[in-house]
Amino acid sequence: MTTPSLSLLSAFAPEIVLGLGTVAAVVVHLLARNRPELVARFSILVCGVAAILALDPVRGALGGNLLVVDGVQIAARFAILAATALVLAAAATSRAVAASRVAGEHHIAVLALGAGALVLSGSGNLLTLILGVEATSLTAYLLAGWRRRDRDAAEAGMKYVMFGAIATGLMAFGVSHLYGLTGTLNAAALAPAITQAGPAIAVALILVAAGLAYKLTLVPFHLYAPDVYQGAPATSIAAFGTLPKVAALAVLVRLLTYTAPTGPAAAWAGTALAVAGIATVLIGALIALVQHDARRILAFSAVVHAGTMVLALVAWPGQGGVGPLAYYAASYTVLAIGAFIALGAIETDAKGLDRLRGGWRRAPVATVALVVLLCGLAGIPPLAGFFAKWMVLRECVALAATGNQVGMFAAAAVLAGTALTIVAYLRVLRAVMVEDPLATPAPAGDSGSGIALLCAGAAIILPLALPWWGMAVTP
Amino acid sequence: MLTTSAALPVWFVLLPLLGAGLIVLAPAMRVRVTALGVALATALVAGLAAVLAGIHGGHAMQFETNIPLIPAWGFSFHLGVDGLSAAMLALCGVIEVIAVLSSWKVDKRPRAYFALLMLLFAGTNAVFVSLDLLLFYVGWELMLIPMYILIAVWGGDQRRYAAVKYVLFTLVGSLAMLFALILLPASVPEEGVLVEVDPDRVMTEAHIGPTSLEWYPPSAFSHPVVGNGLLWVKNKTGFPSMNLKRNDLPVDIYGLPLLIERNRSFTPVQVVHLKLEELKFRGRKKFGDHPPSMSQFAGDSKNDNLDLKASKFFVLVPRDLNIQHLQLLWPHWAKTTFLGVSVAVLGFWCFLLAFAVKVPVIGLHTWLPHAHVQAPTAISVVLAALLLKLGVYGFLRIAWPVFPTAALDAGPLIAVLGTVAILYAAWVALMQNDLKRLVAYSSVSHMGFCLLGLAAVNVAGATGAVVQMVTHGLGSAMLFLVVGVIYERAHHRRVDGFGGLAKPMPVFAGIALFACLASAALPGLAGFPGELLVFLGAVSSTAANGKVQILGLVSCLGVIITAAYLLWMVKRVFFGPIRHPEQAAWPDLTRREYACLVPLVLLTLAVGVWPQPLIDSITPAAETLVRHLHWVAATR
Repeated sequence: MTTPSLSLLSAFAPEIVLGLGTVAAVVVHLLARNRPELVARFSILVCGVAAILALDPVRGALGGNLLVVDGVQIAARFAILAATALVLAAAATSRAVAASRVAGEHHIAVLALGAGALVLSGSGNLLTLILGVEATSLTAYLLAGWRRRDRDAAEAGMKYVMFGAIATGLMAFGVSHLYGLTGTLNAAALAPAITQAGPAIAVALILVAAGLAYKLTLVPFHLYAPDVYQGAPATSIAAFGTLPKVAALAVLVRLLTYTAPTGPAAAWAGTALAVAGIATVLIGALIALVQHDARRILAFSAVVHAGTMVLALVAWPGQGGVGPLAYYAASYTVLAIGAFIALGAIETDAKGLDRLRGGWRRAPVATVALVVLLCGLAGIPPLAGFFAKWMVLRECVALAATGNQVGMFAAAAVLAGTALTIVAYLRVLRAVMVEDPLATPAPAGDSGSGIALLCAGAAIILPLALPWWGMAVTP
Repeated sequence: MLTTSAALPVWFVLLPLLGAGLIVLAPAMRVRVTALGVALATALVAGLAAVLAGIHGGHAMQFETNIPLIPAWGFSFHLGVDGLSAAMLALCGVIEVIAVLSSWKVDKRPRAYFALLMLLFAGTNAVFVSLDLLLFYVGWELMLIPMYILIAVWGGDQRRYAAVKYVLFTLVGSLAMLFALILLPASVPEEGVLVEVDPDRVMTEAHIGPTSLEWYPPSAFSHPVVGNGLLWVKNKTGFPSMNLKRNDLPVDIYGLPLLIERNRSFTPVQVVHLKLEELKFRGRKKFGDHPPSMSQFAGDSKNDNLDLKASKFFVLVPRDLNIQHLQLLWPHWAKTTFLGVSVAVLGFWCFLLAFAVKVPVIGLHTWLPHAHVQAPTAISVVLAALLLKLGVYGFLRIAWPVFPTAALDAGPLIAVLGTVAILYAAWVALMQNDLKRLVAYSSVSHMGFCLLGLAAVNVAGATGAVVQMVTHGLGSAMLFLVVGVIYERAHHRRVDGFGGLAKPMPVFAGIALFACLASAALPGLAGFPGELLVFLGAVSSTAANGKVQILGLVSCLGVIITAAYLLWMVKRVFFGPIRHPEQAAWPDLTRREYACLVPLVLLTLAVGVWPQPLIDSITPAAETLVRHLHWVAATR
């Protein structure tokens, strides 16, 4: 192990700024007890400073790959920082958050989630992997359950904790196995051991994969998502539905690059990704079809999107899928954050899809934003989500064109998933855009229309800029 | 580069998009006026483009705009107009204004209604002028959600069911198209494919001049055929280094340098010893802004070293989404397989599915009657007059020219489906009691003629198919407006709920009769030239060993059934005694209804009496297509 030199620290400036910024946010909160919006503003400022520092990246790695700045991390930083800032901006204007007694703590938790996501996405070592997964999980539990008087939110938080504890426990168990079998926690040093994979290594790897699958909501580790999404506050879903996913995808790419770049391990990894992706897409899309709640529909569509993102890597060990994956993750982040915030702004306290009824009258701006964002998530061109799907499909079809049928199955799954989710989204679209409001006057929803509209605008504009950015991303 | 005339198709697409934005921002009182203004401006642009394109000769692309958007995928903002699209442009212009006018009385959420209508128009317009496959798809999908909302919010009692059915059918087709869209570039190697070009196509479509010398990717120069120092390589000073003198001009087709085979190697086709100034003069004199075509120089004494007539032409087609480039690649599609299936067959059937749903081809038509019955009048007009045309236009623009081998193989099946549609849908229309269902089935029947004309594989048939698209657009719009007028007064559409309407509404009855006669292809009215050309094409067709001729004869029966169901309907609704006393007091047409119907009546009359300008502008494009198909049939 080498001692990190001072100059190396500058490579990790954004991570350090976000980490210290989280601590400083606590101090700000202490000093301005009654003004939680100051905490939000300060947190956004921290994200902005970190993003500016990330503009001029220096590649490097802490000893043992504890924290790595490579192409993936350089890209993931922007998605994570932008997502954190967007969620904070929405939370700062949220009436639900402001009305609670824990508004300041809420903002700090969002910032901490962002910091944890940065650690996870930059991890090249099993130690920081566990650290990142736990940091993103614990803050997510907080965000899911902070409205503890609200039975749904409390239930969501509880379920999240139960499921997350088991999944991260499995992962820690797998990591301890790997350490015991190989004597190293550095993921890059695992490769030789993995190429001579025995059954014990295989079991340990599967356990580690389970932890990542939980973060990514891959089947069968998706089960918590619909229940948690249904109960948790909208801004919270926007945070823990996107940030940990970006981070987990980044670390997935890095771990694959380190441990399975070529050879039989890589082929095995490619097959595993294809199977996981196809199963996730199909199961998620089929179940989304029979949901009668907008949040559950979006939760299952999030599962489908996660599966589709994993399918970007279907040609592994071919690394052409990394760029599409980066573009997909970034555009999904923007679309999903916008969609959940728009939902929060439209929803009333009715039940099921009725919560959205008459949104066009109650919250016209948020409704327009939601329609655009749903179209983006559904992959309707020319919105951001379409080009993301297009890039993933290109990977699948290119693989199939080499004669590999797995590519065809993956392409078919993505197409079927797209069709089924569009049909599922039609229910949401119908509730919010077509149906008249309920006769009983509905209480107004949360605020945040502005941020949702911003995300919708981004969905329209991003296709012009982001493919370039996405395609340039390599491990 | 955007010249003035090249901006026409761009504005044709952008105006409705901007219009949607304007409508969202407009004050509540001005929403309708804004929509009408945008529609009129679009119509002006469309009319100008259509007329200019028609005058220039429709075989070649006019007003091309080509801005690369994502070169790595070969995706560009590529628009253009030829004879096929010119006719559709004109139709779009007319129908879009009529649609806005006939929506004047929509008072439920008018802002959303007109904004969505404009988005729908933007999608339709984009499809009709796109020369990039991905852009075509963008336009195609842009219509999906606005149409869903338009039917689901402003439709009749079962509007939600009809809207979902529309989405489901369209979605299956468009996902098949999406797959084909990704399959095609994936089947082309990165360095491009060297293919032979039809000499006739070279004569009519190749251009002389330095329009694009730089398209080849660096990797192309390692291509086994081209890399041998035979193709242009730009040197430091910017002039091609290959034996090219200052005034020598290369020849390109669709922006690709044309190669000629000499001594078993490929060299660029050049027009030598031709002074640039001379070219400019000659070009401007005859073609305005457009580059001169090869035919002008074939046999030119100065070019005696180019024996064009006796040469074989080749072109290195890059991997991109340019529809014209994809047409040249047909031998490649036929040779390449994807998981054991020919790309030509796979691609053709994917596109066929997408387009067949829209046409709709019989068997995939079941969404149409529901959508029509539930949709508000204006949306029915747009659906019948424009959206159905997208399917046939897709056949003409993509499915047939890009996959000619598969299309020729499937021709007989298409002809049979067309004939079945003509007869079966007409027969079903005979039985309908709902006026809108009747007109909807008549649409399915009339679109069958387009398929039959296409399957005839001759100029008359192809021209007839396009003419039929235009005339059916006018006729079906009139019929749906007529039904709308009745519905607005009666709030139902049952044929047996009316009688003797000619007495209280004589002018309206006259126009309705006129619309029916036009639709039944009475000579002198718009329906006639299209169907006549299709018949002429079908009975003189040599496709499928002449079996299409039999289908052509059989389909004549359709005209009789069409006349029967339309005239029988007219008799029951408009003539005879007044059976419902409250209908005796109905007012005749209002001014707004006149404004919708009279332009269509005049256009129908004009096209019926003097169809020649329309036919003349379409024929060159149809010739290009048919020549392509014949060349493929001869060389495959």
